[in-house]
Amino acid sequence: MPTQLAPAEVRTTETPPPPSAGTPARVRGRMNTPRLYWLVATGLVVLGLLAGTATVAAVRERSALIEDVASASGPVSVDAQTLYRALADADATAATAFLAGGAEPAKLRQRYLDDLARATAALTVALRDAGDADAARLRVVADQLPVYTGLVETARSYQRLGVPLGGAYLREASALMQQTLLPASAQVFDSTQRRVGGEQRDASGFPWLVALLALVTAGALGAAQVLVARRSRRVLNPGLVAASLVLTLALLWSAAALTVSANRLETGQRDGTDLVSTLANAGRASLQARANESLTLVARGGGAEFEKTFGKQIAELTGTNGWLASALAQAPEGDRELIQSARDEAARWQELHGQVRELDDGGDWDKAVELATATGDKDLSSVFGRLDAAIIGALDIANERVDRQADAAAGALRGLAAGLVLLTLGLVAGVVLGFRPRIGEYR
Amino acid sequence: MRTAKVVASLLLITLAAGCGGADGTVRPVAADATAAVPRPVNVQDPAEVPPAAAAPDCDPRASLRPQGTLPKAGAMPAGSTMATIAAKGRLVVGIDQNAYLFGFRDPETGELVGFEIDMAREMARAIFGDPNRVQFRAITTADRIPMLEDHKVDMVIRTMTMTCERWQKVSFSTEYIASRQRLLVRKGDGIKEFADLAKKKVCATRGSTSIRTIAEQPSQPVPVSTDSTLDCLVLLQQHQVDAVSTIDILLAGLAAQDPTTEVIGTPVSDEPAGIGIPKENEDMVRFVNGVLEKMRADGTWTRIYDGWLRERLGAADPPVAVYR
Repeated sequence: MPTQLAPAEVRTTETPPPPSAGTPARVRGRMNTPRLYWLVATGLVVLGLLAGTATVAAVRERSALIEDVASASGPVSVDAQTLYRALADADATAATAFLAGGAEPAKLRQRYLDDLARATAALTVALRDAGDADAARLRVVADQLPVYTGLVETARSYQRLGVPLGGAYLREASALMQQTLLPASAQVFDSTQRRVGGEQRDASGFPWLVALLALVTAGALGAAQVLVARRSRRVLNPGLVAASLVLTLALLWSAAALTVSANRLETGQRDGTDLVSTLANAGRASLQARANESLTLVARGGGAEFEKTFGKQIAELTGTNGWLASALAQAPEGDRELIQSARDEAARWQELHGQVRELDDGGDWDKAVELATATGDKDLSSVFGRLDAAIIGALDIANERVDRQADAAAGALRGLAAGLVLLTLGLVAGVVLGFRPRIGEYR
Repeated sequence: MRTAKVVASLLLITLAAGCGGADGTVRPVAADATAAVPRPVNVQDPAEVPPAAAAPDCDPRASLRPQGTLPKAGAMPAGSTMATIAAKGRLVVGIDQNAYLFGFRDPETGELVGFEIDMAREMARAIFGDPNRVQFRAITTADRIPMLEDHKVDMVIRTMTMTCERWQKVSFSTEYIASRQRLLVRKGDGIKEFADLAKKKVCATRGSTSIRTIAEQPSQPVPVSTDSTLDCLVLLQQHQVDAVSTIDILLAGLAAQDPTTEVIGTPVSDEPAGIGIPKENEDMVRFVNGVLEKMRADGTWTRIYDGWLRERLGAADPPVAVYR
């Protein structure tokens, strides 16, 4: 096929490598001064333009990455969090409402419906911005969410008719949520987090190419001044001095702006993105544990599996290496109080859970349910509510930090690209103005 | 002229379509989306069939004969198991909270009600003279024997089939309700017998004797197991299995929850249900059998049966007591 031959043809028509230049010593010996000046001036201009262009390109690339963190990946990650949280909360709320008996409390019903509204809204927005792999996962959620809600409504109807079949439907619904919907949306969240983290890393790395070109340009400029000083016997060449000053300014500005920007991004990653991941996992573990706690009671004596899952999830949440402990270690000073309060509530929850289990295991299901669904300030629902609110609060702060640091990082780079274009032109002008009179002397 | 106009407009449309097509980004195809049917937790399809345990030969119905006259309520013979329970103040009974008509929660009151709950209350009445001196403990099928062996309950009334294998570990009262394994199907599916279920899926609870009976049918249905019979009904409603097969009294409870299903088929097993009692409490076995004798004789059994089951299972006489 001709298309396969094409590259070979291209290779044959490729321009031959440029003829190798002689060593500087031989050039100097063979060449007269004006020609040498020409060559040096041209070289400096080319180097200056190269360094300037590379720096401008690097700055623009970073700005684009930071812009993406602030306006695309960041928000998608927040959508993924919303989707995940809304689904997990719907699951926990449905189970708790079911437990409350025949006609569930209006407040819990509303909360469940709000969760679904939030989930579908987040799903729609996330689907629009997602890549192929994430879109496939989101489609699993989109396909199965109506099935899930159908099962929950069936469970409610049977519950109202007073037949035990309702509990079986609720268990099936929860299994669908915990085994299919939540894992799919967790993967979407993880991949958006990875993307944000990757962009933050890429935009805060050390710019090797730019640094190298800048150093070479600076060295060449210095060498040119030594050369001109020797040949013309004038110590200072104003044009070249001006070019050096311009280069110094460009270097200082770039270094300062890029360092500040990188620092902001690193802060955004450490105290923002990484903390968001940990806190989101803490929220997931606590919501799923809550759902399983209720399901243990819904199963009425057959809930050993759910209790086991609860134990695993609560350990993930509150263990010594659990999500809350990690969040506490990761979080900056100001966030710790909130996370610590979440940890205290989680400990209180475990205590109350122990009491509920003791009652239920002792055969007193009624008392267990009464304790599990009581709504007083010191009761399980309120304790869990405060735990959840503390995690959400900390998450909001961390999410906002990702945003703010991205804005600050973008702010540090503002005007740098335009400034560098002007400075590059200034450098070129300095070189040209510095060499023109010297070359003119030999006419 | 007209031809020229038509050609011109066609050209325009083509151009417009070409532009539009080239402009739009590739969108994921959504027309092939399908929804997978979910399953309850812990479904085994096909189910693992529990091996038939080598059980000693016996008459599983034969229990211990009551001795003398039944002691009056509140006056249990000193040193007896019943006296210990009376001293404790409550009779602890292992029951099912999820078996409609047998043991379930009344949606209005939240109270446990059902045929087996009433049986338990009669036992409490016989000991204390008060049917409310009973503590119900919801247990799973698999928990029944361990709970009795560990004395965590005084008795189990939970459609527990009397088998020679189980007699090795626990004692049973005389039969309090007869049951046979049959089929629950969707009305109108045309399934009448196990013979109609060749290669079709039939559901029962994990590790139950029902699973074994399903697997042993000559028509070779595929056994599917779940954690509870309710999950089987969910699968039947969702067309994921074609029948549920367990004892008919439990099937009646399932059919009562869904009027589009019916209990059919020739019984394929004989499964007498007895009250499970810790092996060593022989005095308790004799006492419970005495209470059952009285309930059969004075119409209490029939009253309770009629209250919960007659409408579903038809009129029935109390099972005849068999003694060793």
